[in-house]
Amino acid sequence: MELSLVVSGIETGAFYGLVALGYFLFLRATAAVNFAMGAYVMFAGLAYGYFSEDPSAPLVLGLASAFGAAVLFSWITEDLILRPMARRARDEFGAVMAIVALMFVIEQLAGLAFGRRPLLGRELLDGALVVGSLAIDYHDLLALVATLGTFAAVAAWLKRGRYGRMLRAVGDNEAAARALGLPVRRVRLVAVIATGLICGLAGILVAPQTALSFQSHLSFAILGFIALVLGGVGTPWAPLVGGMLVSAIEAASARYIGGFARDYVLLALVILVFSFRPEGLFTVRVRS
Amino acid sequence: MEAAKNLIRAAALVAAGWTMLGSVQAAAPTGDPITIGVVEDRSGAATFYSSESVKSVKLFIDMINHGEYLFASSAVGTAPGILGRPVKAIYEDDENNPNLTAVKTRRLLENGAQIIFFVSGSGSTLQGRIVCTEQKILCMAPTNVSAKIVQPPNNDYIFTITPQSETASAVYVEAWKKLGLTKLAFIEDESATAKTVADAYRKAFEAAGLSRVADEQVEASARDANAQLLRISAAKPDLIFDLIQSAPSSANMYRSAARLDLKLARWGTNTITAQPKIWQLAGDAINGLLVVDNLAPDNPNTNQVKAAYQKQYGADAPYVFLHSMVWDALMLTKKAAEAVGSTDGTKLRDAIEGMTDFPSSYGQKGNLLNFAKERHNGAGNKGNVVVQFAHGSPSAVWDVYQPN
Amino acid sequence: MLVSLVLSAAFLAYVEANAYRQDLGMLAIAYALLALGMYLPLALCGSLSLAYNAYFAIGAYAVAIISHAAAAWMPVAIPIAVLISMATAALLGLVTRRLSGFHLAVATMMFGIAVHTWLLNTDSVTGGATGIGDIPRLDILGWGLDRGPLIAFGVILVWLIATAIGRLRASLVGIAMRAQRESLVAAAANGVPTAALRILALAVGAGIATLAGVLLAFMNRFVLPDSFAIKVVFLVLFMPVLGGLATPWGAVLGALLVVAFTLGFDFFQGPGSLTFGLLTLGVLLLVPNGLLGGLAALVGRRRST
Repeated sequence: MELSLVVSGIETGAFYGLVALGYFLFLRATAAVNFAMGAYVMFAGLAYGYFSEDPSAPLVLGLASAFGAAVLFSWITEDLILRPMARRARDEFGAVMAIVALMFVIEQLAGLAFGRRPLLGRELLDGALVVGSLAIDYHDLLALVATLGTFAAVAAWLKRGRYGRMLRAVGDNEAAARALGLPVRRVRLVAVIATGLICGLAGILVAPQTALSFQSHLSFAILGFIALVLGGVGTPWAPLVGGMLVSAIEAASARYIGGFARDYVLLALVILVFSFRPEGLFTVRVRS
Repeated sequence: MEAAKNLIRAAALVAAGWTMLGSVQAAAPTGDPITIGVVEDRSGAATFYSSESVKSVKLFIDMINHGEYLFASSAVGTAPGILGRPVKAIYEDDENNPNLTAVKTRRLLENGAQIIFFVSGSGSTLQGRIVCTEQKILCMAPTNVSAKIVQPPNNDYIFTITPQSETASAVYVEAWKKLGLTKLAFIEDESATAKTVADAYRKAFEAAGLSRVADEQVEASARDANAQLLRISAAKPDLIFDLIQSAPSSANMYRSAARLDLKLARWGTNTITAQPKIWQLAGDAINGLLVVDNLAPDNPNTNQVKAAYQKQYGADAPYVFLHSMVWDALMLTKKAAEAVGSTDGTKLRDAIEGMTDFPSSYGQKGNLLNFAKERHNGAGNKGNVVVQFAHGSPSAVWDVYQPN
Repeated sequence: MLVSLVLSAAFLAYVEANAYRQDLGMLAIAYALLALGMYLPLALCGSLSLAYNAYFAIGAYAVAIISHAAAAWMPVAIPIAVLISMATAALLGLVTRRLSGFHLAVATMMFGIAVHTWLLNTDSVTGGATGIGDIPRLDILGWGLDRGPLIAFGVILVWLIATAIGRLRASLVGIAMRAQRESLVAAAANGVPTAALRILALAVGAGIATLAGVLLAFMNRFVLPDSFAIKVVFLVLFMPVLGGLATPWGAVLGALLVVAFTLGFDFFQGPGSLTFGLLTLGVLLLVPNGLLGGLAALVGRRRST
């Protein structure tokens, strides 16, 4: 039985990891910590759940709306909000507030579009793999494989892809990248769209695993962010490690201390990690 | 779009009016409308059930205006409207935020409301009822289960209809005694409502000599409840008592329980029966669950109101106890207003405090509501019905025990 | 100065008309105090703390708890509440002293969430989920303040605090603090005790926010944990931005706008947070200096032409 806790912990960790990967790419591209990431994931999950509720509806409708919505929101955040704001000399908290405002706009839009009720998406694969007393849904296996595949793809893209390599240059030193004549804006756009796709995928994968509502986004955003900081930004695989760690701590505290302690444990974790892991710490600036 | 919707609604109303004219020959209500102010939650955590209550407020006020009282005509007569005047409702959204409830309630009064219905969360009602006392206005919280609402302070003008945990707990105790179950495991979420209800049950069960071997909390947006269920399973209880209020968490918990293949008796509260979305999401995982609910399939009163409700909202619109509670609250209000000939809050309150044996649309057959000066919750033992989930819905009345 | 006095008097005249407007007025005052509390460290040191629901709660619960457990201490309930909050904020400021920006925001938000959880679960102290009732009226030197006078008291508080913060910004300390915001290294090199000043600003801001809780407890005479959920912080966060960061009156204006949009207008019936979200985004993008800043620019332009 304890084994099933491990299995669900890994599933959850993979999910946090995907959200953190979204943060990671967005941060690389725009130097902003995009707290609205949780809202993209939630919206995508609700869209997928909404359109897959009717078993006769084509699956592609739900998939397309989930990816479409997440990419659209990601693009809006960068191109319509952060970029115009960065042109002016603004303080960092201007960006923080804009992102928080956007988060609530998306929350309420989701409530209006999909109803203020919980939704569960259709599993991408039916059935379950039975190993002894343990049953693992094929969907969950698929989610794990898709998550690992995404990480591998992003890592390969950053290492070898044309825009991926440029993205590293843009993220490391924007002024230098500009001076070298790199198409900074286009590189950013590609990364922002990739972020949207990752959030869309995370939403689609999680929607059949857990009932979502229009208020699910805040905990996604918080846990994804903690995973990002915990893992650091050294390699594209770091968010996955961070996600697994957060999930393990969460599950262990719920199992051995009790569910009531979760908020206290997370607070302690945040303060400890943020304060004593300088390599995970970076001063976030909305472009200078 | 909105205009078209209104047009359709108006046409439906006219059509409904004509059919009604055929059956009930009563004068249409005239004069200034009597205004009921409704505090609802349109955007917060209570939306899941608040929106259901609002649907029934809308329909049942319509029925009052057409003099359609079904079984309740034995108590309220057949005259349409209240005091011969039409009834209308105005609404305010308090976002289930207690900081806003008092001011939204006052706003309703400012806009002409003479009576207030709270259909948002229990916390909202606790903070909003202060306005009822200050302004001496009759307030109804038909769907809230917290017993604190009708306890001092500021309880002078507020009434509730739903059986409170105090009476429901006696039913659980009796039922478990019959089955020989003594060791309980509580599972709840971290919402204020869950905490309030759970505290009341903890107290009642302790007094009854039952032992609690686990108290687990699930976070409101938890993905699953595996860790909590494992802790419960390790504590070796006789049964799990589910007090989770949030529909997504609740559904996730039943899915976790099914996944872990827990072989434990499972009992829950009427929060689950109030939210059909939970059963739909939980699927087969919920079968076997026993709940002290407030609806019995063989209660003719319930079935009359249910038929009217499903005629309006479609045959597959789930009918839950919240709808019956709103019905009873409206009928009580009409009866009281006509008994005292006004909408004066103090007179209405005194009238309701004097109501006994009022026919109810929920509970077991023959359930009656009784109020008194120190008793602002009208429910009795027959308001509770033990039901069991089968085929994904609370469809079977439990044959082992029913309260009397 | 004169303008703010006249407007405060007009506000009082408007809200004292009936009980509904009194509630509106008190909500506006509470939000204004919270927004001012958040504004102080934000504008002076660039520290964005999100733990304000905790300080709000400390004010309300201190009054509620003292009124029941130690009624003799009621005359000093307000200073006690403010001191507890300031100590809490200073401690949190110390623990999070190495954080900035989003990291600080998330850490302080987690603190706010944990405080709400604690309020809900610590029945012996806070009354648990159903809170504490039967809070007496505010009594100042034997003069009991009912709803009306309580609001007047609140307006005076807001006026005093906003004026004081305005003065502070102009004063030497303010210049030091802003220098620190522009360049930590430069400020430190010039002997400005940056860390201490930052913690002081956070503590004073928390003290101001506490007053909002104190007033709300005396107004409603009932406190509940859900009044102090993290949600309220996100609402308050928008206020200084809406009004404009150039002056503390921007935070006050933001509070008034939020109240007006939640409750004042009949034509608007959509979900509140959708409007504020859109409004804040609009202001951030179109009027980056906030509404007061935009107004000042407009007036300036007219004068120059």
